Amino acid sequence: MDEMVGTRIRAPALALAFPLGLPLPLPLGLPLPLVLVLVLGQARAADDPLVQPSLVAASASIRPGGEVVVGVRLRLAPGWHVYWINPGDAGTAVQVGWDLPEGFAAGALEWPVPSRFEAGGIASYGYSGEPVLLATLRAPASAAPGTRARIAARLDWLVCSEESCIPGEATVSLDLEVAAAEPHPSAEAPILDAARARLPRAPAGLRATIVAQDDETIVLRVEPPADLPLDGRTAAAGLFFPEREGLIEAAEEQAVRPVAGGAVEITLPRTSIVKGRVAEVRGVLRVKRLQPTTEEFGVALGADAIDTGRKGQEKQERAR
Amino acid sequence: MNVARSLMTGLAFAAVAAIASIGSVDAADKEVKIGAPAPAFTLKDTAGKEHSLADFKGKIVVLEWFNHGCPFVVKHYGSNNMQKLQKAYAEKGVIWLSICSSAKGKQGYDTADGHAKTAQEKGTASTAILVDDSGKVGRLYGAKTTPHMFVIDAEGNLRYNGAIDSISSAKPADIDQAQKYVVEALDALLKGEAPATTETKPYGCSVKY
Repeated sequence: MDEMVGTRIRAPALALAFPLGLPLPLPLGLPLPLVLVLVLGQARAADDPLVQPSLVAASASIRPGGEVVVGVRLRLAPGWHVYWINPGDAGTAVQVGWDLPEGFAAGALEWPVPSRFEAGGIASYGYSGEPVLLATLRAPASAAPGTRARIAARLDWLVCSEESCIPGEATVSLDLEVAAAEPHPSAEAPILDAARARLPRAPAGLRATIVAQDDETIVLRVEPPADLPLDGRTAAAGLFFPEREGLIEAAEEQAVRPVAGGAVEITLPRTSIVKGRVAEVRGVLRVKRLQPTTEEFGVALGADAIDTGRKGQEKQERAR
Repeated sequence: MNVARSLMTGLAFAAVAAIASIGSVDAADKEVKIGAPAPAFTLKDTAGKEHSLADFKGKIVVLEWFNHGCPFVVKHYGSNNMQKLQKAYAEKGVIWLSICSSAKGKQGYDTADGHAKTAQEKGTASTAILVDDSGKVGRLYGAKTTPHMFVIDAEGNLRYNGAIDSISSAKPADIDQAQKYVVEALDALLKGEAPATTETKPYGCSVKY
């Protein structure tokens, strides 16, 4: 069965576990036996690949010295997922290696807000549906107008369902025309715009700090700026995804509580793998806005440990 | 407005409460502590013979979770790395128990006969291949990935929990370059020393409970 069955039968958790912006595959109101039958009925044709990779660009041309946004798009069969930078308890991140013409450079990959997939008490971070990883490509000033630039990416992935994991690899490519004229949006540009909307937001004025830690937990305090709809209610439905592997127990609850001034504190359950004082935690906080309309999005957080006062220091002493 | 607000708060907290119900492996994991007695268990091997952890008191024991469909397990068996380790440490008196916790219908599941046949084909050299298709022992230990490795000392205390080595890939070419955590833990214990690395994040496919 696919990995969403476990969450589908717990309707409140669905919103957290399901990727941003994707349509719900099944009506929530169906009785469980019927849901199971429908899921099992999503049989794939034998020649239908689990992962259909492609490379898409925001424009068909690039100026000498100019930039173009490109996306590595993975279309996944229903019930299968690939992994974020930190895969959670198991799995491994999608790997992208660029093969570019002389002088071209690709910026860092930008990853959409991940989802959590849980099966048998093991939780992973990743994507189902059609994740798109973005990168900004830059042409050298010396690129000659009228030539074509072959942009290629070597991809490696592990794709898993609740039952099995299959490795895969592919090389995807596209040709960009080097042209002095202003590039026009390509037919794929809307895919890249939609992908950008699924990246974590980085709101100005957001402050995140580690306010306490011991050998069991790390407590993050998140103070949202006035214009960010993140308060006790929205963040209470949240989930934090740390970039660092092995730092927190991926399947365990993260307690969220509102504190004074519109801030929230999120208690992350720590593993025993990463020992000692943690100086910083980076990652994505996934939140759900309930009004005026329901919306889920992710916020990029970088929290440094601060002088936490007596209580926090005592906790840290105990952790040593 | 107040009614609406408290209703929304309720929904938001209901979502968090739902998350709390899915931590079964981690709940078990808390019982598994470095330096503490490794949890007792009894499982049948591929011939139907029962093996208990207590049977091996006085010997160093390795627990290896496997699933032959998993690419990370294929990395270590296809390269013969796992079989070589099993043989090398058997010669030093180490007990090596290979455990499959895949549930029926999931990747890596097999009958006892099927497991025996595969082990013969692959040249598995474990002391015993144990069938845990209920996932009971896997959950008891908090086994999360295949492979996931545990090393238990001669007194029955857990001394290492985590990855087989330091490079979390499915590529056999990485084996030689990796820091070999299980080898290091075993070599330390055989010399009467404490393993330097006791816990790492295991890598691989999720155990298919």
